[in-house]
Amino acid sequence: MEIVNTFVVVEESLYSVLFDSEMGVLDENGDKIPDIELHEFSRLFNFWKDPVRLRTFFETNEADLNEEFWEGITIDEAIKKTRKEAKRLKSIILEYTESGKTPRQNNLSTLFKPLVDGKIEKDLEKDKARVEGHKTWLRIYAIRVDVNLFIICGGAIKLRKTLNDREYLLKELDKLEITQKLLKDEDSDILDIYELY
Amino acid sequence: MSIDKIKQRLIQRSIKDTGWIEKAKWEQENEYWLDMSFEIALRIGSILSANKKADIHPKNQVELAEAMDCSAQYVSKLMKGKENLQIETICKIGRILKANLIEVPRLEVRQKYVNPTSSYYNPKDLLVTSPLMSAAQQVYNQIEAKADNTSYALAA
Repeated sequence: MEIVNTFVVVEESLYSVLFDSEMGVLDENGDKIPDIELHEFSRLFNFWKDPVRLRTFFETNEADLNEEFWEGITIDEAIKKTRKEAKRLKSIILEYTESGKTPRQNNLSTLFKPLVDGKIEKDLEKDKARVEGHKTWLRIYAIRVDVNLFIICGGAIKLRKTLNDREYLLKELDKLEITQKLLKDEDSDILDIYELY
Repeated sequence: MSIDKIKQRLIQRSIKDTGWIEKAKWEQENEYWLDMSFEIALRIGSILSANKKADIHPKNQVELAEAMDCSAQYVSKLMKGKENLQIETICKIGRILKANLIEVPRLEVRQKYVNPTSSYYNPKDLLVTSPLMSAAQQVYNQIEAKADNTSYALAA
């Protein structure tokens, strides 16, 4: 899995990566979905509001959904909960997009927290964003480049306590690693390749 | 690589995709019907899923499209929960799936037959059962007071 492009989501504040593994997806008419809809920020929010794909996800992970922790939530309820959380998350980002232009006000730094609670890294910290509330399960994963500057590299419906025991969650850890590594790599020319466009 | 250099490269090299901001604002403005469209799509998906388990027709999008006499692409689109559906379409799907996909509170008026010429007529025989009941009752009471319980109350 490799990063092939980066996109500006919020000017000078929020970026999003496109992985090669997401490319080449077709829509319902058989047309190729443009890259602009496949970078992580777009991909996540499109997925989180798609009832068909969410049903497939929850049916595949029904055993996790049936864990006592989720208090017997049904698949239909889980789909509604996901969309509701996604709407909230997007409206928070939208709000910060508008208000975050002045340093005194809330900005994205208040939304993104260290991936592991309390583990603050000096450089290129792995972060997560979530909606505050009881048993929320949506996560956006990002690398913190600087104050109020993040690059989104994934996200998940996190039905498990940790990221370590499900393939779809392990993949998110990999994506964080790949993005962090790319940014740290002095010799990487991936970010330079866009000069060709 | 220094943070400043990373920042500089990100800012300079990334492809701009800020179109989502306008789209997000539009979604907020149209939330009232988008929520309903999503609920309908969710219900259709739920019924198709149950039909599949019970082997009842239609059990998938293709079979639903056949029953609706439309393209599979159209069904796929409406099942994304973003379509501004016509009432006719909603009712058609509801009939095929044998389910009520949309419910509108019904105004029910039950009126007893009365003979206006009868001296036994009691205007209270007019029964209204609906959320409008209290309003109707108020109007009735006002007319009744003015008419002083005479047959003019029939004009109401």
